[in-house]
Amino acid sequence: MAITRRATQFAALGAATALALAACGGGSGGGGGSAAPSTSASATPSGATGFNAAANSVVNASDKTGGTLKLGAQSDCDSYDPARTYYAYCWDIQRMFTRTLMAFKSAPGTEGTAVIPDMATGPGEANADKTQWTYHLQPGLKYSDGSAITTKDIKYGIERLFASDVINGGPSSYYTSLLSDTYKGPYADPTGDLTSVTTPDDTTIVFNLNKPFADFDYLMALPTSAPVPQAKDTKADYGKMPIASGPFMISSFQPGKSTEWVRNPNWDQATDKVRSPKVDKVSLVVITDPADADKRLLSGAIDTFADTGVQPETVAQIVADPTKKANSDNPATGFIRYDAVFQTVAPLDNVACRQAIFYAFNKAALLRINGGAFAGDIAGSMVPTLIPGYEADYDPYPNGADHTGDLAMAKQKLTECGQPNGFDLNYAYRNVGLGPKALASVTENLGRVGIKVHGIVASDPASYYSTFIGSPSNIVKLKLGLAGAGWGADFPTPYGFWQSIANSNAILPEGNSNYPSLKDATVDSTLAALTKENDPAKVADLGKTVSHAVMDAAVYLPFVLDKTFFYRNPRLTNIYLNGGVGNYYDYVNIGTSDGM
Amino acid sequence: MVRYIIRRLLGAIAVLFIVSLVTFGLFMVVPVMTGASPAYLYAGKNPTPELIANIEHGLGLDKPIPEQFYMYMKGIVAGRTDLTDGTADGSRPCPAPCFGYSFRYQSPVWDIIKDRFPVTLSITVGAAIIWLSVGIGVGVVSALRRGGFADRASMVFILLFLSLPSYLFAILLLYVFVYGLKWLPPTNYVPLTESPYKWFQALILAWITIGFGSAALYARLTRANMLETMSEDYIRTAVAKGLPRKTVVRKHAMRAALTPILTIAGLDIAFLLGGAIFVEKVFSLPGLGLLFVEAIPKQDLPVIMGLTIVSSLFIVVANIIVDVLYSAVDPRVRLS
Repeated sequence: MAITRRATQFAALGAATALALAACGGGSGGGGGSAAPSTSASATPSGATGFNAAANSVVNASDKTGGTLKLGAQSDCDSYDPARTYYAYCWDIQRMFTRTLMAFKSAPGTEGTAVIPDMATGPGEANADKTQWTYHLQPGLKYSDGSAITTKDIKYGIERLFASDVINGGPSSYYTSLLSDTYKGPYADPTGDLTSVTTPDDTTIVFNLNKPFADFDYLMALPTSAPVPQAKDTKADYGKMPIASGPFMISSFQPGKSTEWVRNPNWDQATDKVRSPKVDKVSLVVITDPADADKRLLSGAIDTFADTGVQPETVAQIVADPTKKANSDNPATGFIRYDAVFQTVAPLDNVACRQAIFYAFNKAALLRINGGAFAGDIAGSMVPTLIPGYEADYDPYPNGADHTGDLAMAKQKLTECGQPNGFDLNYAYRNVGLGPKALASVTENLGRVGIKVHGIVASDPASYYSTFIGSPSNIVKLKLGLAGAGWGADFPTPYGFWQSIANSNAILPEGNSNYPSLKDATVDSTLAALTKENDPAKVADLGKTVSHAVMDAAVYLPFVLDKTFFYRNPRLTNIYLNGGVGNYYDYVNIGTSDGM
Repeated sequence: MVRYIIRRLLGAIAVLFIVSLVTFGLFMVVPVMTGASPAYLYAGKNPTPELIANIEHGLGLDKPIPEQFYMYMKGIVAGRTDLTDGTADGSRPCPAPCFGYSFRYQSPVWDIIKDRFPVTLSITVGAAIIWLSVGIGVGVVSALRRGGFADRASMVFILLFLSLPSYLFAILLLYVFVYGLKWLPPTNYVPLTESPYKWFQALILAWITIGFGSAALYARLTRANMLETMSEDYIRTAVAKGLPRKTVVRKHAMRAALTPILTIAGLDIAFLLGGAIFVEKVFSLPGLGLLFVEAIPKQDLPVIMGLTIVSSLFIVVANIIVDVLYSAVDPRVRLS
């Protein structure tokens, strides 16, 4: 990302940037297999077209094969090692050459958030308390070198995650925290074994978890759980040329410059219900200048951006041209921008004082700073659009019809909390990106009710999330009151969205993501219940319970649900935005109408 | 001469050692002391203290600082075998000059620098040819035709390119020649050995951007130096003795006037070899400058440190070369 790995660190990348972690949910786990998006049995493109058409439908559906998909990106993938990548677009790229037991369905919008079997014969078979998950591999699965894929390779891929001194950068803690407290990984402990994962035979794998985890199928859909044959593991260098199990394989990789994929001759469509590739080749070129990148996109030199949307100036140019606008999409990224309100610092230890900030806050101004209507929507609550439990009309602290603030209500809350004339408030920010503008806006809009904002800048912007606002003791030491941040779920479930930022058991001395140190019994117990629940309706209800409890605590002040602006070359076929991969285009299934 | 060069080389080694020490302190010691360990960037969400410690171990950040510095310097001079890569004995060969492994690219820093350097070298050589030939040529002609049309025209040239912001000039070139007239394809760097034509296409706008921007400055300096030299007594003597004007200008005036230019050119070229950051970014040329730009937000400390030391090396070496060349260009200068 640009661009770093943690979800929160994407906040500074600008409104047009769509580097939120794989996000946006709504579908239930499990479910039966489903083929790649249905297309007409014709080489002539058909189906939906127009602005935002790819958000909920397949644009230019066609069965035509051949050609090259030309992708551009402003920054290279963090890694092609499936265990070490954390960029949302790179998870999408991984779908081209990496297969997993489960996978996000190839479908537009919300439908794509469902996980379906990929290499597995069916969804995970769980025991009653969701602590044991069993999967069976389909027959006939092969790597690009022709060797067979076995469950031992999947186990080995998981074992690598424990070698965190070498294999780091990805979301390995989901797996390591569920599977072992003591295992050191296959490098430091080559004679040992991850005993919590067993492979009774080459097609069966059993995961014995140390606590319930109902979303395990989602973990098995992340590239982090991809198979790695031990004989091919080049450890830290594996990302340079990972072995392929999907329909494409890397043919050339020049870090920071370009990557090319060609078809994997040993991939068999008959074994793959997720992917339906059309092109022969995919290229990705790194173009570092955003203006140049936009020009190349509109000129057709590249087909679409892989990592980010176009610049605001280019958005204006596109929407002014009906033809160009018809070939663009403006999806939600699944990323929420918010201010953390630190209840550990007086007078914010009084909920009414925190609520005064909520009412006085000018969300419309923050949306403008972030890039305006094409860069996001005003958020009433924390939950992004496609996560189960999202409620479009839920806004417990309405701040006026135009979202510029309800000053009367804010003053009432100030009186209620014993600070009728307002109070001093320290605002943590980074002196990069939108940080200074956000500070100016917050200073102005809270000043209207007497809350005097003082900016406290993080001396090292790179450690803002880890040791500045990610350290509860630092927050108390600096008497921080508010801090700008952002969040996107790694997998689209309520647990995936809330666990790190709301559960009291996730609070850490440093690198903490529960910035306000929320300790709420309802939140904690509901998240615990979510680890044992797979029923979609109940999951959505529990998601709402968490959402309401968090908003009642008034420790997260959401203001913008991020959107990005993509342009797609009209020659592209079978193109849609997949909610399961962060509402990026589903690259693996895109074709070209001209076969070029 | 040999003693002089040896002395300068020893001085250069001392300078590079100090640069390494300061660089190491700035990038490896200060962040850890302030609690901003780079390990957090590689730990994903909710890293436990154990995970951070494990990653720090992998990065070698858990060793005493003097030992880290000793190993770093040893790596540069003699190579290292102690970097963790997960092998049973925890070793990973990193031959000299070893600047460590990039966190970002998961490769030896030296390999990345070697891979990116040809791009920056190509930019530098082409741009230097333009700015030296155009800058010196315009400056000399302008001085010799002082007050005439050529002088006034060169003044316009100088003013134009000195006042035109290079970032604007670069973007203008890009829009006019790539997206307007479509005379050039969008930049996609291709090595000279692969296709000289595509290599030229990828670099020409970068050369023009740097070349003409710098040429204006060089023209101004050359003009001023030439005017000063042409008014020296020995030039008047040479003319009075009846030497042809061409000989006076070439053998006597230019030689003296261009000596200071040589110093500046040497340093400019050395600076550029360390990375033409702006031009590489605008034209998406994957050289050392772009590598630097990519490494900073990622906190890819080994890359930042390696590039800083390599850039310093270019400047130190350029200084030595310039000093040695001084005596060749101007015999009045003695190496002492």
